[in-house]
Amino acid sequence: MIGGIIMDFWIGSSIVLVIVIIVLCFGPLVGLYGDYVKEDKKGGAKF
Amino acid sequence: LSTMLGSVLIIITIGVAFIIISWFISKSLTKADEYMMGKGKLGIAFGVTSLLAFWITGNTIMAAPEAGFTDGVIGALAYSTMGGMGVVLFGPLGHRIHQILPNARTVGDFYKNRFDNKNYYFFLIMCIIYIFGLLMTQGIGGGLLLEQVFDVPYGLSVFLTIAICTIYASIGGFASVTGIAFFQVMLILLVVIIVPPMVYLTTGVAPIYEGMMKFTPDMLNLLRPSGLMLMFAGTVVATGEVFMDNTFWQRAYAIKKEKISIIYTLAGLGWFFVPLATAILAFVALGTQQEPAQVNQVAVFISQVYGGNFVSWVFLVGVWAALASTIAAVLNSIVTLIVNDLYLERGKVRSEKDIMKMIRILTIVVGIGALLLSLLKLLTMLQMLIFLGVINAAFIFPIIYGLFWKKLNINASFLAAILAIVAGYIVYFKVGALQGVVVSGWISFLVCTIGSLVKPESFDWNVLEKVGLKEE
Repeated sequence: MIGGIIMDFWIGSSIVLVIVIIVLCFGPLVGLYGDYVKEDKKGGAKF
Repeated sequence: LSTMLGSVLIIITIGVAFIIISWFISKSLTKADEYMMGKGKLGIAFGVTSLLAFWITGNTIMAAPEAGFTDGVIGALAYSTMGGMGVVLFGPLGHRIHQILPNARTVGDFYKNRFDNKNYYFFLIMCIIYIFGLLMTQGIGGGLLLEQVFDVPYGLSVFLTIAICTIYASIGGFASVTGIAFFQVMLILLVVIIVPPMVYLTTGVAPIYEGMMKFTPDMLNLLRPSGLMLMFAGTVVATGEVFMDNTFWQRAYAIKKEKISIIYTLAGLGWFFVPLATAILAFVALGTQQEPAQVNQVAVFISQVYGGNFVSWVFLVGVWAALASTIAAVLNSIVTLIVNDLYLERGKVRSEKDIMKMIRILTIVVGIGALLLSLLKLLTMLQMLIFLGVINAAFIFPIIYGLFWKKLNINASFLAAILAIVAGYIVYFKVGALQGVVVSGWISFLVCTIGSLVKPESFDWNVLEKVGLKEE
């Protein structure tokens, strides 16, 4: 029983960690970091 | 004896073909940059195949069926998800890398200019440890495959595998590694496309399902805890590997910018089906109650039972191509990192000839190092990957924040990486291997985030724009 709970804790924390990574990687698409750059016509970055 | 001789002859034949192709490719290379980064930019076909060739390793074909055998359906899905997800997640990072570091060459260029010296050298040391570990896993994988399945002595197997890769990687550099990758992916796909259908056409799908229901019903449970743990903690390991590995950064720089997202997404999705295809061979073993002598041989064992010698040769060719492509890509990647970040950075002006000579010598030296380490046979492939996963997980957040978030506090990122690795290894040895990876990832995330919110910095992205440009 205790083993099951500990296992669930580890599974739960690894699932949340993966979700955090996905959000941080794709976050720029929705302006997560605020200052995310816009590209100029040549594809370069404008800061 | 005939199996052993046959296997050695097959490997030598394919190896010599790779070396000849590499020699042809190398004839058009005149500059060190071409040797390190290739000529021109890679489009979708070569971009996807070079990523697949590197990322489909011996583990993908040998360890995925092991996961399917020990954890059932969720084990097979877990293995496929972890590696595929890591590549897909690198897509947005690759796009950003092109924007802010348009002229850089390695992950070291990013770390050196985005962070300070202590972060940079710590990362470089960890990165080299990780890459040597990865090289070892492939050397060990090649040795074990040939020893256990095809009766070739371990030492000879490791020597043949690493020697051939070192020779062709040193002759043609990045251009030959990515050029030959195209052929290697075709050989790998032979295994994936031919073997599982051949086996299932013989056994039938329904009898296997019914056999699993009867003998091992728990293996059909999609909520099996150990499988779920592998799926998510494994995704953290693989994501960390991809983000830290210079091989992916090299390809991000070498791929056309407008194709980056599509190439990484296609490579991730394409990769997903490779371990899944080989892992379903394990279900045949479960459903028919046949057990291999060693669990990591389950796919080859089932192939031999239902396909005979021909299929086991196909397996040999595919797995060996997977090992060779990874070893060659990693050799080229680590040498590029060392030359670009250590050799060229010492201020002295070097001629193109000197640089190319240094790259070739270093490739051979690193190859010999990898050979000697692989002969030690310290851990199995999967154990080694998870062991290194603690280091990989610690750098996920410094790299994501370093690329996207100007407020990242670089002292916090340094502390995060160190604390994550130390705590991760304590948990790894005291609690469990995958748990150590999860702790490493969480500490890295929390320390980086909280540290940067409490004491935010304001990084000027323009600093990175000229990184890698030569001063004429």
